[in-house]
Amino acid sequence: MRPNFIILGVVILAAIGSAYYFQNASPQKMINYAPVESEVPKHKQQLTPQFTIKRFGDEQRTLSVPRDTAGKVVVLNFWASWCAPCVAEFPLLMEISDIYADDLIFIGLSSDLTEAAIDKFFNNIDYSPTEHEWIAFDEGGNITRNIFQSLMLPETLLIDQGGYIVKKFVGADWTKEEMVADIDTLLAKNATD
Amino acid sequence: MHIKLKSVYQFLISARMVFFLMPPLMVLLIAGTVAQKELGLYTATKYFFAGPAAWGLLGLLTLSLSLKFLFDSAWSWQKLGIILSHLGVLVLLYGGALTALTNQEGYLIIPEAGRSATVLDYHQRSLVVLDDGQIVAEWRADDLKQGAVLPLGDTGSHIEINDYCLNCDITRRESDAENAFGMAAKVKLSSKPSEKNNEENISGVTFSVSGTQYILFEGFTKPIGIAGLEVIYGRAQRRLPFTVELVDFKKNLYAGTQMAKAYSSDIIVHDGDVSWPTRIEMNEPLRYKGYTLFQSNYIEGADGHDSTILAVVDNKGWIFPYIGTAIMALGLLYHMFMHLTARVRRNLALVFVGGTMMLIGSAPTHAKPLDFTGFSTLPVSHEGRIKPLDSFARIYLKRFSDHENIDGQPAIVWLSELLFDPARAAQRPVFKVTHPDLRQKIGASDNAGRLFSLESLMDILAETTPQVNALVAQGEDFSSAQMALLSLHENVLSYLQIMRSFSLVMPLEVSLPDDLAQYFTANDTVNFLSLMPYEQRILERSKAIVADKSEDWGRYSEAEGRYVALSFAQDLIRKQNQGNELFRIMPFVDGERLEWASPWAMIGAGGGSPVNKRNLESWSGLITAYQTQDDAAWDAHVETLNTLYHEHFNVAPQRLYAEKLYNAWPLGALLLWGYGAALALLAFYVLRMGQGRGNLVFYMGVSTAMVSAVIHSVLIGFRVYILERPPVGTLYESILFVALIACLLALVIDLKQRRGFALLSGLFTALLLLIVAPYFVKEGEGLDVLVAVLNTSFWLTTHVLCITIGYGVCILAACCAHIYLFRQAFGAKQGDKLYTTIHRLVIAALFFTAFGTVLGGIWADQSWGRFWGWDPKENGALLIVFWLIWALHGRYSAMLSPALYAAVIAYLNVIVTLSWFGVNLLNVGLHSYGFISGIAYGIVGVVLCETALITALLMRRAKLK
Repeated sequence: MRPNFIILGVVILAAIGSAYYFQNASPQKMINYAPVESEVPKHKQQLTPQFTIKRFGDEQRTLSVPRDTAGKVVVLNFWASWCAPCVAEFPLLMEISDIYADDLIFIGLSSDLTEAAIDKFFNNIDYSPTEHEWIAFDEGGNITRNIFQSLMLPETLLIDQGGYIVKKFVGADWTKEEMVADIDTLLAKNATD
Repeated sequence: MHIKLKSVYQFLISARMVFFLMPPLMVLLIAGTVAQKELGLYTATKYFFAGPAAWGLLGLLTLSLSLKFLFDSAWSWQKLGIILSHLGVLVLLYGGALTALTNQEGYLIIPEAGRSATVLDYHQRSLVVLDDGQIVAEWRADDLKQGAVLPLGDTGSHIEINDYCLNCDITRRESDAENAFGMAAKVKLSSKPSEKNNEENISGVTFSVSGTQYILFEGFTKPIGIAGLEVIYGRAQRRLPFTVELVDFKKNLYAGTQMAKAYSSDIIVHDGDVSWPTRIEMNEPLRYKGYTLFQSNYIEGADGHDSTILAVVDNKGWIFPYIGTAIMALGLLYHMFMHLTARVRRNLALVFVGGTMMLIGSAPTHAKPLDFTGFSTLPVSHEGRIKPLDSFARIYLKRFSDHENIDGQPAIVWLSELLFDPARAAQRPVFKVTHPDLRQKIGASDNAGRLFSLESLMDILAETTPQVNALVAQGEDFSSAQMALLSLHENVLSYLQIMRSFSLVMPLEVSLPDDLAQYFTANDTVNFLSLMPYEQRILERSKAIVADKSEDWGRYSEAEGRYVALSFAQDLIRKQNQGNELFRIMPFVDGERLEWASPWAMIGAGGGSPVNKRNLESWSGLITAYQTQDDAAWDAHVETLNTLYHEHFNVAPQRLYAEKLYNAWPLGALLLWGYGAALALLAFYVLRMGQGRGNLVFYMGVSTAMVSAVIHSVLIGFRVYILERPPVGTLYESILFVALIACLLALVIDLKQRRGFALLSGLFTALLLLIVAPYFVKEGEGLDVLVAVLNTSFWLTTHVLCITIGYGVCILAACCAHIYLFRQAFGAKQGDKLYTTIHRLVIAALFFTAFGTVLGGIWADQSWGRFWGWDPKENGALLIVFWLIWALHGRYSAMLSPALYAAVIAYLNVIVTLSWFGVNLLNVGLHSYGFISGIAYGIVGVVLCETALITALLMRRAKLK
């Protein structure tokens, strides 16, 4: 037999064989759904700036974030009693706060013009903050606008145990399940770390 | 008889066979490509590329090559390259035949959280009979001819086909039909002309069973029950031996655009008891159990839940192109090397290093006003890319005025005035108005300049706004005057958006009511942003005042007047800036993505953050520094901003600086002058040939060409660095690249030969291409981002670089062939060394174009799951390959004399022009990156001129003989 017959035969057999091998080499490319790498380097972008608040109704007590909140998840809510969506989402935030009494600190920073407005609102809804819930009067929007540039109330930041801002909820268009899932993720991550 | 058979066999294995096969193949290729314009890809492929003519011609070619390889290819070092090339082509042809006979293509549509194993065929439709969900019988559309009688399972009944339409017109009957079931009683199907794209046809069938008429058509997915069975019609379906579940579909967009950078689908493959997760991305298919699944498309769900569309290909011959390409490339490379090794100059590398050093030594320095140097490299997101403000300013000033500087000031100075001193900017003439009708409307005299300020246009803009709104509603078909008016309005809108970018932090000239003033210290700026916390109160007070005292300002107290004025100002500013999103300088985090928005859009989207607070403060600081001409504050704020962008948002300042340099250096003009000078020197040298080597003019020409080539390389290098991708993504880039290749190759040849012909050709090619290149720039410097499928560096690098190098070599060979023909026509002797050079170039061109074309097929296989789709651009590349094969086999078989061979190669210019640019005129196919308009005349010109020139040269040569 001429050598070229053999060569052509070998080439074709090699093609068919390798096609069969590659197509059936399975399962392949198994991956976990690690999210696509974020475009934002976490360590650079989102560390919470240091700020201190006085507890509403007990101004002797102060809380310095993130120093005093290290190790706990912080839900930082920017609100005002004149802002209808803020008022609407407030009960939901309290429900979430109740779920995580030991692992979470809730901070409600009010942009009301007077403390009296806050007082009136709390009286209306018959609310008094629990130990892990901090309400503060942000006079002149000093923290809300001048540090966090939060201009479209309500806005809620989720801050992890290390003091990094991990998520921002703009407006009241979020669900309890969504926020609970995010908090659970942070707590679970901390547990494994 | 034996002698006859032998002569047939001899003919079959000869180069003449290929020489004669190529012209009809080329005709078929061109006809099939052009026919796509009218018939669409599916029909054109069916008739031209998968029809009897294609099978016949390709079958003959396969037979010829097989016989040649098996019986007439004795291995030797000399012939190794040719034999390997033939073997590679044979494998490609066998693979092509196998694919054509067995390939099945379809697609899966899976919603998020859904799963599917049903593949729908792209083209095939079928009528299916089901018994309890199991297929009893299935007939393809080809079987559904009028009058066909098909058994309805074991029922003893028959389906009689009354009518079948590929593209149906579904019309209501005037009155209900008798003996018709369901919809058939109300509506009827009739044929209408087919759509160009077969996928868009809505086919259907009208049939009868036992005297009752039924209709079924695509999109009507509910089965009809007949005699205890179910009958359904639609896209032919196949079941995968596994199920695919979509977990999440991800779409990554270019910053600030809706243009996709990449897609991916996170899926779980369920195969029996085994389930495993994987991801399918653009150009990263999943190959499993003989099937290949590609990310093809997606459907955006109204509720935010998208569906992925995965192309599913079952191609038994998929690996043949990979093996065939490797063998063919090896063969061609070896063959080329056999011709070219002697040409390689030992000291070539040293020459290039020397040239680079010369360029670095003579690098032009930029002379920008110091104050704006840092400012001009601040980042802005524009058209999907982060650019320096310098580019943004140039693009918009050019768009408005047709200039890159105004009143002697660079664009960046104009932009800063527009941003920070809008009142003065509005008086500066920047809008180009040249249309006579529009100038008449403005009242501009013939002697008035072409540029007008915003202030001078305000009246005419207000007056023509209703007309413009009506034109926009009308849609298309505008007269030139209407186009000019629309363009002016569009430019003014962009101008106003940029001008008002910082209106939220611009100081407001208002007096605050006392109860508001208490919240502001003397150092606080009163602007839209600082008033935002009090907006609610201002609005409520203002409403109460107007309700109480109407809009009669005379009745307001001073404090009331201030409230109403404040409310009015806030409202006006907010309304003016709804949709203001052009000047995207504010990055903010949105989930995992980094979005870039204008200050207004950032605030609107709740993108505020501690970092952006500092960012916006620095921009506000720039406004003050600009208005007070405070150099120190200006520099400090620019530095703060540069640091913020770099440290917090991953902006690479060096890349922005490189783009600014690219904008500033007149590299394009330098190149034209350089190549022009080198061409003049070489032309002078060539005309004075015979005066020996070492001619000073020759070396001057070569040196100039080398320096120009280095500048050219730097220019392309800048683009690669700025865009972070290979330099051949757009038509404009490919022209720049081909020009460089032609020049470099010519330099290599003439550094050895020192005859000047090759370099003369290369310089002419480069110069011509660089002159036409600007016509292919969309805007600015043509630094554009690419659509998702082209945004894959590896395949772009291999396939497109190879093809464009091939174009360059082809044009160089064609230009050398022109010189050869000129010399022949004007009395040069036979046996010219130039002829050998041309032949070597042709072999190199064949290697790059053939290898590049097949690599394109592999890229397509990786991206879309088919090696060859008969796309016009693919066909264009194949046409060049066929032309080169034809010429080479004509030469080997002595069917083409040296002069005719040179003429065929000279005509390669036309073939390359048609392939490179001509196919874009068809406006069909996947290579949409190259679509351009207005080049038809240019192409016709090239065809006519080349045909006339080459014919004239051949005739003169014949006459001379």
